[in-house]
Amino acid sequence: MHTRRTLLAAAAVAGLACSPALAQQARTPISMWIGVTGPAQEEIMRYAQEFNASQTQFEAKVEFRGQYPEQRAAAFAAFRAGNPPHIMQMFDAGTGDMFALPRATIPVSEVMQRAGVQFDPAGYIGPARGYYSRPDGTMNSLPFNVSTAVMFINDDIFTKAGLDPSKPPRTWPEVIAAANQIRERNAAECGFTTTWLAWTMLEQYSAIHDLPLSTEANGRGGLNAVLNFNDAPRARMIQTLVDASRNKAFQYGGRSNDANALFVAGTCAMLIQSSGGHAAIARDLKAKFSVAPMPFWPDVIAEPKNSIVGGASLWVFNAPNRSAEELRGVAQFLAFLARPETYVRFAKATGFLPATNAAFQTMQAEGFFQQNAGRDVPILQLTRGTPTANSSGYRFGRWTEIRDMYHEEVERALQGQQTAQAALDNTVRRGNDALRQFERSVGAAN
Amino acid sequence: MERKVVFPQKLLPYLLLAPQIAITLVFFFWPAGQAIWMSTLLQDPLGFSVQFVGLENFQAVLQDPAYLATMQRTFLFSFGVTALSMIPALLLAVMADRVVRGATAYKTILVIPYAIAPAVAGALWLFLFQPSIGTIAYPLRLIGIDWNPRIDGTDAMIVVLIASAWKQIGYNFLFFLAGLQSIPKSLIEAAAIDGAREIRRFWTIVFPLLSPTTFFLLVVNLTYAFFDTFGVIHAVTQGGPGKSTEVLIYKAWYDGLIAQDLGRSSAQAVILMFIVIGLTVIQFRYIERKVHY
Amino acid sequence: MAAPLDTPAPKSVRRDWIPHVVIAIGIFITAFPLWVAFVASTLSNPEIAQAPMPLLPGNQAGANYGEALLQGGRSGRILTPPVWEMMLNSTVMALSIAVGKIIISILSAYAVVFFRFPFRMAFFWMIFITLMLPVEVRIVPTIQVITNLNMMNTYAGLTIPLIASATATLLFRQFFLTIPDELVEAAKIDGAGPMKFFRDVVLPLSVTNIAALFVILFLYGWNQYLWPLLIGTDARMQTIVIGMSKMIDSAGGPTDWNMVMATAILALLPPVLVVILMQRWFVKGLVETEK
Repeated sequence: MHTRRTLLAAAAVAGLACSPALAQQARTPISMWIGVTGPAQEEIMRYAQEFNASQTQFEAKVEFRGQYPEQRAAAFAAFRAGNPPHIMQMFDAGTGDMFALPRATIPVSEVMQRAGVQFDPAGYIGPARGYYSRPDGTMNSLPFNVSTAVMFINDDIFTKAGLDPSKPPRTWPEVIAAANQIRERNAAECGFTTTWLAWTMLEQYSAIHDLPLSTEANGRGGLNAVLNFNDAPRARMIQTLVDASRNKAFQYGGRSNDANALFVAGTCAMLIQSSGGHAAIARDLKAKFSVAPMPFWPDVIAEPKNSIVGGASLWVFNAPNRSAEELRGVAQFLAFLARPETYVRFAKATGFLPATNAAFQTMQAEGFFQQNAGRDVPILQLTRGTPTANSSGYRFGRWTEIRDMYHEEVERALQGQQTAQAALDNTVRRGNDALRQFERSVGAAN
Repeated sequence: MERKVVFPQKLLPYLLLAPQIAITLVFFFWPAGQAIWMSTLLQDPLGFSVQFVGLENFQAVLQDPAYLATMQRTFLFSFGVTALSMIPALLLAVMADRVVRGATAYKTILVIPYAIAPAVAGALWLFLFQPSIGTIAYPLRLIGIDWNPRIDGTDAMIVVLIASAWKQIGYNFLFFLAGLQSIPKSLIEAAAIDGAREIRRFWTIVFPLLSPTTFFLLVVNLTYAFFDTFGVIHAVTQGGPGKSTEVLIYKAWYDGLIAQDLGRSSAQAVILMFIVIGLTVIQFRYIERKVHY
Repeated sequence: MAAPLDTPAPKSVRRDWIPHVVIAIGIFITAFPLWVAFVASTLSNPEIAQAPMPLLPGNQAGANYGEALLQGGRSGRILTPPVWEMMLNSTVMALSIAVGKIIISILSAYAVVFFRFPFRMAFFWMIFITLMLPVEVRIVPTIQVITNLNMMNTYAGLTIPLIASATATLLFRQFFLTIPDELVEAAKIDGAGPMKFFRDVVLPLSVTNIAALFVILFLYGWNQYLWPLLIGTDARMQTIVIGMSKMIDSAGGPTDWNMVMATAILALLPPVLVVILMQRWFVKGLVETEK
């Protein structure tokens, strides 16, 4: 099926070259691969249709090519074969790999500039801009589905346990106390759980508590960054999970999104989850719920810092066979996606965040956050205070794999096979091996 | 063995062979060659920087405690699956051999799991062992066993072991039964007249005569456990929790596809190639003996 | 309760009794997971969640199977296309692989056995060696090769690379060696060319072998896992086995076990039916291909 389409596309391009009459009808195809599913996928597909209807020169073709890691493997193979998609959606953890291989992509700022399309990186909310831009302000990839981690609370279980859902726990000691009370009064099978363990308990946790993940400004200063997050505050968090899992105040729910099921089934009273999961929770949970910021340790930090973004961004591949016309189409399509109204629609439909200040203000002006309590929690948490070097994101090669190392080591700690400190020591040791290997592998690439 | 009488055409045989040779070259030899070549390289995920590093990847892989632990786990798992599928199969075959009526119907039912994809078999057993709702997990919980394959590595291993072995029992059963039925009854009866007890008779006469079948099944089941259980593990545990169900194939897949570490994944592929070659040679050595009557 | 006169001796009564019990246990272990899966596929999710789950079928079978077959990928929960589409992909894959393998193997075996030509044994060994190169040992380069040929997410990519295999060729070769020389002589005297001989003599003689191979290869194709996982990343190219596994690990909402089990039943039904209906050839195929 795909081969045939490629042939058709090739025929269309050939037609363009030799027949001016046809040129007016033949549209230049713009391919984009995405790795999201569910409501987010449906929305993006819809925008592509609208883009195609809005003009006659280009045809955006959005395809789901497997979840993020599979899609990335497929796109990299296509790149090596000389024919990558024009645009690829890359998850947060892959950002460091892409930054380390600058020749593979064209910065979004440059794509827009070459095509003469108005584009202002400064219009993006700070954490998203920082995460995806170079130090000189050039934006490498277009932030699209932006999220951060927040805590969802099942109001019904809280009430049943004698807790006040309108005063959600703010700190970790309060969360643990609430979880214990829920267990003691048997209001639920488990107190709290979390999705995406490394993202919430290591990455978000470190940003909020203003703790570094590594030397070299969390990897933004260079590929020679050395991981150093095996310290007491981070170990205490793991130890807390291990201790709390004894009486099911905490229940481990797997490495990815599976813990979400524990929350919507009413098994767990609290869930730390991506704000992008809001729509799915609203749809599936048969109870009232509220949204609270990520908890923090008051003895580590009095005023918690901003959390960091997750989600994914859109990258433009650089390939030798790309014509100026194609790049113009890419710029047009990205500009279409980057309109405030698109971001607003996407945010409303999915629970992801408005990526630009303009989109956020539009939603505020419309009164969206008054009507949808809790939907502003993630964006307020993301933009509170002045970001520090530790809360401006990170940039590491092979971070996908290092996240899994953290998962594996923490899982071993949860099984009682090692201490929390050993889990972190092992993660750091193995992670640094991977970083050094990555540093060597891209050594001659730049 | 060769035919004496053949057709004289010179070009035709090449045409007949062409499709298979073409596919073999393009989809087997080319990527296998690539795997060997890539195992000697250090490169970034997109191939901008390619450095020849000789055997460094092999050295790194074979010195990595995690890899060695996975190798050890893979062997234990493979022998576990083999034992768990062959022993019940042998017992069932011995029993079925004594039954005159209904043997065909038994065969039909027992062999059904063999037709089921490993990943589907994994899903069925995962469901039975699902901590909160599983039909087997529920009584376990009632008698006070805190059962949770998502958190406990041993529990996870038990699920993938059982699912993988369950699928093979029927297959082993068929071969054991065929083996038993080919043993002349007179031999066994002679032993019975000598007064040998039933169990003793089995171990001293029947089992040795079955040894070609047993050996053959041993190789087949080890190969199955090594290579074909990827589906069970990928679908059920994804190698976790921790690394407690990660086997060699899963690690090669993960390192190559998810971690994009092309050199070390390829080195693992080459190591696996040696293992397959070893298993194939053993298998054919044995078959040669069997076929050369 | 009048016992017949030729009542067997007590000892052999005991002997009759034990095997049946042991086999009954074996059948129970075989069938129990299948039964529970079937029951779960006929229940609603709340019914499944109330541990212990009922062990008799409920009345949701129509709803569950209908939803799985026609809707499949309800957004956010099950990331798959409708199950009937995935079954179609699996069918295309299983049939193409089975038929393709049989065709190219019988042709190459015919060439190797019935002709003498330079490099004959070299070609034979080339085919033989593929036994030692399963997909598992060449994961990354394979994706690259398939991408270079623009075959990712196509039926061609899902099937063609899997239709070369040594087993079927070896089997046909083994069989062709047993065809009496007299038949070939007679054909030559009649002036029949090699292709006519192939069509009129070899092919009819091979029918049972082909049937046996077909059963084994259909299972092989239908139950593939790693290959479609690597090559069919697009949801539209997903096979039912892959789709079912995605329903488990990608649960964005609560895992719909009734849907997973309905899909699992649909995924195992075709190969199980093939084995049951073609049992004679299946057993023959097993014995022959594993030699």
